[in-house]
Amino acid sequence: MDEIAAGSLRSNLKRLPRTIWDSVIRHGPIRSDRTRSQAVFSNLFLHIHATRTHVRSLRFSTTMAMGVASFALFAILGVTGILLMVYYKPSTELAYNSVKDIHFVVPAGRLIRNIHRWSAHLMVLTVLLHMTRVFYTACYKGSRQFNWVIGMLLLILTLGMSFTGYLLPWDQLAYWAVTIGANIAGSPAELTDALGVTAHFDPGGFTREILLGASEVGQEALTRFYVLHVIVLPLVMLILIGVHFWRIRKDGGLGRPGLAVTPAGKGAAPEDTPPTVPAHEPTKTYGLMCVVKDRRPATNQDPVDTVPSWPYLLNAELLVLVATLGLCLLVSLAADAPLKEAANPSVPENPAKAPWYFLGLQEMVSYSAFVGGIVVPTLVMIGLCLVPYLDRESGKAGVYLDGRTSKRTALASLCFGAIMAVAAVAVPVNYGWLRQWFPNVDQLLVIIINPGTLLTLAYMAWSIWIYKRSASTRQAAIALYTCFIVGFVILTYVGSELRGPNWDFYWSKADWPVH
Amino acid sequence: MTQEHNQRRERAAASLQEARQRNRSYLVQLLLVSLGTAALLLRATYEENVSAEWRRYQARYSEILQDKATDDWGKTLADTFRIEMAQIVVPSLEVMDRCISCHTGIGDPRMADQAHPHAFHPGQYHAWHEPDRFGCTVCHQGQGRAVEHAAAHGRVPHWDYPMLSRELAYTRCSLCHYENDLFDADEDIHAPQDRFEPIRQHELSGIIPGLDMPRSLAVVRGKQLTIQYGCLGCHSYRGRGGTQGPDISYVGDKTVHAFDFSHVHVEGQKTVSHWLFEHFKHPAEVSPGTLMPDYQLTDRQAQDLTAYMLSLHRKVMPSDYTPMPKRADPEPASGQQLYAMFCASCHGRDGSGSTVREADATRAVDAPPELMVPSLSNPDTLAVMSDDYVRYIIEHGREGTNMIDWAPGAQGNLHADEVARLVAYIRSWQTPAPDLAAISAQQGEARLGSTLYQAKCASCHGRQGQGGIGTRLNSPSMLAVASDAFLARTLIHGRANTAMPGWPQLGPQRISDLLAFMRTWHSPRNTVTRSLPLMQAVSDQARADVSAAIGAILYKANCVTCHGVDGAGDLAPSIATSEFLSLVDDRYLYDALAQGRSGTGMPAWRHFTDEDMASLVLFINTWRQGPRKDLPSAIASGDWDAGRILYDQTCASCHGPAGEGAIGPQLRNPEFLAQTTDAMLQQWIAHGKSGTPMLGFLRGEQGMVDLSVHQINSVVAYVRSLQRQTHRPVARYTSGRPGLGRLWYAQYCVGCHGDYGEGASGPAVTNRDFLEASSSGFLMATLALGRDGTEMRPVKDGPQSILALSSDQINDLVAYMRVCETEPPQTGIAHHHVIPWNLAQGRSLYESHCAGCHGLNGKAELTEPGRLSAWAPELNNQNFLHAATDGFLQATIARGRDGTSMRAFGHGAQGLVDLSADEIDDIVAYMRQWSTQADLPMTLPAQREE
Repeated sequence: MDEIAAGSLRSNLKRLPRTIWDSVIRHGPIRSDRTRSQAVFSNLFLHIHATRTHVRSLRFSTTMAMGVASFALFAILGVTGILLMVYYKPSTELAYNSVKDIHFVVPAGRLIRNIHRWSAHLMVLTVLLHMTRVFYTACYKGSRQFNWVIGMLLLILTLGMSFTGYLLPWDQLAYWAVTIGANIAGSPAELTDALGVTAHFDPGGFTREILLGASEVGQEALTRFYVLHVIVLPLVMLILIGVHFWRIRKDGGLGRPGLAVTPAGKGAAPEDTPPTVPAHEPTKTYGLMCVVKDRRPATNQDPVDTVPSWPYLLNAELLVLVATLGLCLLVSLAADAPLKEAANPSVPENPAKAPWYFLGLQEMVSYSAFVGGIVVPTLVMIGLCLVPYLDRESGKAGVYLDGRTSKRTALASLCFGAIMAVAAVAVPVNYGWLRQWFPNVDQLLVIIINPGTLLTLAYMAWSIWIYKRSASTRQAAIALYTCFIVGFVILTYVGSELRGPNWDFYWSKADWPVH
Repeated sequence: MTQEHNQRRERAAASLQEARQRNRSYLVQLLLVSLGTAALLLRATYEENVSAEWRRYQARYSEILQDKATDDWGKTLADTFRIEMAQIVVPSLEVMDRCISCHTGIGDPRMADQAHPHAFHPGQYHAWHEPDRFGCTVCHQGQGRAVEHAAAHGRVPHWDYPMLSRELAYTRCSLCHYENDLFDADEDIHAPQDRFEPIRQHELSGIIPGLDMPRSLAVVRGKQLTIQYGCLGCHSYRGRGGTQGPDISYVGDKTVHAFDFSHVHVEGQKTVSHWLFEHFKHPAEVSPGTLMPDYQLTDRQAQDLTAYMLSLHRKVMPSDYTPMPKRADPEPASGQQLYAMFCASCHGRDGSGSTVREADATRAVDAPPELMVPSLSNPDTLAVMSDDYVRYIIEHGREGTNMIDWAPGAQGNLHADEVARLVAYIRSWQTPAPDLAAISAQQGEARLGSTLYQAKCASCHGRQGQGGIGTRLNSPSMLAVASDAFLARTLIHGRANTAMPGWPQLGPQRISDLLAFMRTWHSPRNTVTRSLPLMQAVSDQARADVSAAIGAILYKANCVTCHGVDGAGDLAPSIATSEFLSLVDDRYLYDALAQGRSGTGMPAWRHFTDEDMASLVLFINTWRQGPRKDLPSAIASGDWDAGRILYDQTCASCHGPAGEGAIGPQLRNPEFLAQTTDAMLQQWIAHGKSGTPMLGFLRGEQGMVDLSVHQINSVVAYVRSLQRQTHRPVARYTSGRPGLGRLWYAQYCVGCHGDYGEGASGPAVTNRDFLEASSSGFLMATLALGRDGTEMRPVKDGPQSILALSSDQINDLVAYMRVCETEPPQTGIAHHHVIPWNLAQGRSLYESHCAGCHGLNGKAELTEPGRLSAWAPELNNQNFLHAATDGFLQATIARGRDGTSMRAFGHGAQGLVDLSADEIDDIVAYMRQWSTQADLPMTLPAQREE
């Protein structure tokens, strides 16, 4: 007390650097694990980590680091995105040329744009891999149920960011990919047309117009996409990422083998009890411990297997961050981000392809925009969100495909999913579909019964069959998820590599009619 | 407890140990990855700031500047040069060109000896096109924003505008300059107006005057090729031209996306110019199924055409960049140029027509529809089709064929004047009309004429001229009244809207032969040596076959219509006056009757027998009231020159200039002058002719002017001199009133001759060719006397008249027709008049003789995809049926068409089949009933002479 009060101006000036430092970094000098833990605990950003981390979590194989990599990419995208915003002009007349300027004359502009573009692709990949890892290690169980749902939302947001960013260069690629996207949004018209009620009830036209702000892709759409891309979606995403991280910390930290699963809703006190009033004036303050029933801060964590997050976890994370940045740089120096001709509404691209991660979707859209582009993806998303709520078996979490049964289920599902996905492509390519078989069939039937829906139904049936056979919801979930991933990969491959002009099937791009 | 505690401690230690090991390895990896990332960043920094291409060029340029700095200005320039990105920004042109970041020396003439990219821009273009105001890409295209070689020069995928260098840079001139546009250059810039002007000469030349641009010649040559090869026959440019091919107005604005490259060997240059070049070289390969012929162009020609096509731009530059067009030659494009531009690609440059032959068809990947284009320059075609026909077909096209309608506002959109010039140009292929003066029956040889007649005329006019499809030619009244000049002109020009074609190609001698042959039908049945003695016999004894009474009957039947009852005069002069009869002798009267008065309405009555002639002269002599005056055989010769002046002052007001006739009779008439003696002329001038407006001019007579005998002799000398002039003008004077004539025409004549005299069941009577050949007397006589062997009956009040018109009405009608000669009434295609005599027979004849080539029902049918069954032009289309008169069809069927596959079918024409005139009419009638707009027959046809 005296020391602070007694500070003379002179001594205060002398100590100024030190006091400012201490006022910012509130823990003292780092000298021990304890101070490091304190530092983690008292820093807003580091505080997202537990002070101690399970040693198994540090192994690369435990998490594949995909979550951190995704976040690293998000950060890279944020920084490069802000730099691009400085030069980019969101106007149909100027956009393309401003991208050209960024490419040719803005200092390091080409590199920045390349990094931004490739990071975005990479991020979709890492997010998907992260989800796959979480699923196969069953880390969605117990109190983590909802965090899985948040993860799904983040996946959707990531795709949304990609989609909105795709339009901004205003080149042919962008224009026609977004036109396809807008058509998918407007695809409920397909159903209402078949029912003959479009004139009275047109949800497809409505959503399409909400998305584009006009009947065609134009300045309004560009403005909307720009706003979504640079402020709305990143903001929502940032908040959800915060929640996502925070819940990991609250739900027992990073995934690892031996992670005990606490059912959700068990952390709160059962009922209100009158606070115990201490007999005498307390001499020390209490931390969070008073609302936690147990005696330790992290109830399911044995401190014996843990090590301080600083430096062990932070170093590992730093490595992932730098490695991700390095990878992005490498790719960006090796290849320029694509930029085709300036958008020309009168010259359609053929084939007009969406970005690669949507090509599985586009493959299904080729059968029916509404069912393939809206119904099936919605069903898949809802199904994935429901996984933790339907599979509540309290098995072990944190281990890849725990048990032989799981591995066999996964392998069988891999084969089944692959065969069905290939069949879903091969049959229509070789033999045509309903319209070719029965030329007079009702359009409604063609919309509903298409290879995409049949594939989805087959996967669901397979999953149910697995459930019946093994009486295990976890096995059913593994079957379903494996099929989904295999189907996604195969359809994406077909869409990107084997489809040519008019969405016809070609074994190689060399076979395309020259166009 | 302790054991458990120890175990926990060991586990904790093991965990820490593992974490530390892992941490160490992570730190090593972190170091490596960080170094790697830092290296990548360094490399990026280097590339971005040091190694850029343009920096190298500018560094080199800086050295060049130092080397070349010889004076203060150069030194300053070299010292102040800084290596930095440079660009030209012209917002109004949307130009942002960084080309000068590498091409630093473009504006410095000292750099003329340097290589690219430091070289000076060649030529003087910068003097007019300051780089600061225009930038680079306006002319050269490429990607102005880029600063790397391949990207800036536009040689990268996904860039629509590759750089245009050398000759091709001139294809951009037309963004601002009009001169190389094909026509209607300013249409793009100025507000659309309701004007539609013919194509002008200067629009077809297309080089900027006074500008030396050798390299721009490719574009100019390409423009000439575009005109010469008739590209516009199939491709339309700015609203004019054919519709077979795509519009070429703005080819230069198109990008590669507008072209189908699937049949082009791209070989790394997928550019519009490459496509166009290949297309011009191998049209059928590049565009399978195209009608575009392979013109066997040389590489140079194909390049020129490519350059020109690339230069066809829409004018979108701001107006201050667009100079006003230089109006060098406002003359409209000639018919020949228009023909080359719009017609030649199908009808051939010489009008010989064309067909897409088998060989061309098989070269195409898909067989194109067969294209058959009729010949236009064929003499038979030109002879048969009238200008109206050509104009109608040009303006309305022939649906069912590739001939589109070219009328203003229609598909082809040619100006009406241009169509007229085209018609005139097509007509110019016809052999020029021979000189009429060189034609006369006397010069002809009837024997040769006979052969010619049987070959060319007999199929329509009959072997003896008895008529058939054509009119009866051996009609005495026709031959009596028709002069050689009239017949010759009709032979040369034909009769519009009838089956009579023009035969200018026969030449003067053969036409003379024909005339001589025709005149043999009209050989005289009387001679002066036999007729006049018969008269003497009458005075001795009354004879049954020669008497004044017979003469009176003959007069009543043949002469009274014109000369009036008792010879008092009506349409023709009075012949019963004592002054006249006291001067003329019988020989004079005989000659007047036998020879007629060519050019007037007086026919030559050569078909009267000796007895009839004698009777007529006898009858006329009954009007004599006194003895014949004795006239001196010669009069004192007068002064010809004074006579001419006196004639002009005194006589010309009635007898017309140079005696060609007006209110008074024609003096300069060979027959008249041959029959009269000077003494007769002198007497008439001196004392006048009572009963006519001719007064005596001798002093003391009632004449307006008093003339002395010598003066009268001078006038006689002048009139006599007119005899020596070979030129025989057609007397055009009429005393009628054209306005009334029009009314009479509408009342009495339209039924047969059509609303405007364009012809219907009767021939056309208001067309210029006919009227130029017809004297007023001829018209008058035809009206008064009718024409034997045709449906034309006498219409003047008289013995056989069907209408009983007065002489005033006849004069009015003649006056109306005279007016039509100078002011043609609105003409039309003639009405059709063939009566469907026997449609069933017409049909069976058509099917057996015509359907083989022209197709059943006159329509070509597809026997297999893309292949037509017909070998000849389609007949069953409305525009053709509307434009083609029955005469056109009859003549073509009867005579065939030399030089085409159309054979002659008429009787006596040595064709494939001998069809009679009736049968031809039946076929025409059968074809006519295809027409949905067939006119009803206007009059009943005359009974056919079997």
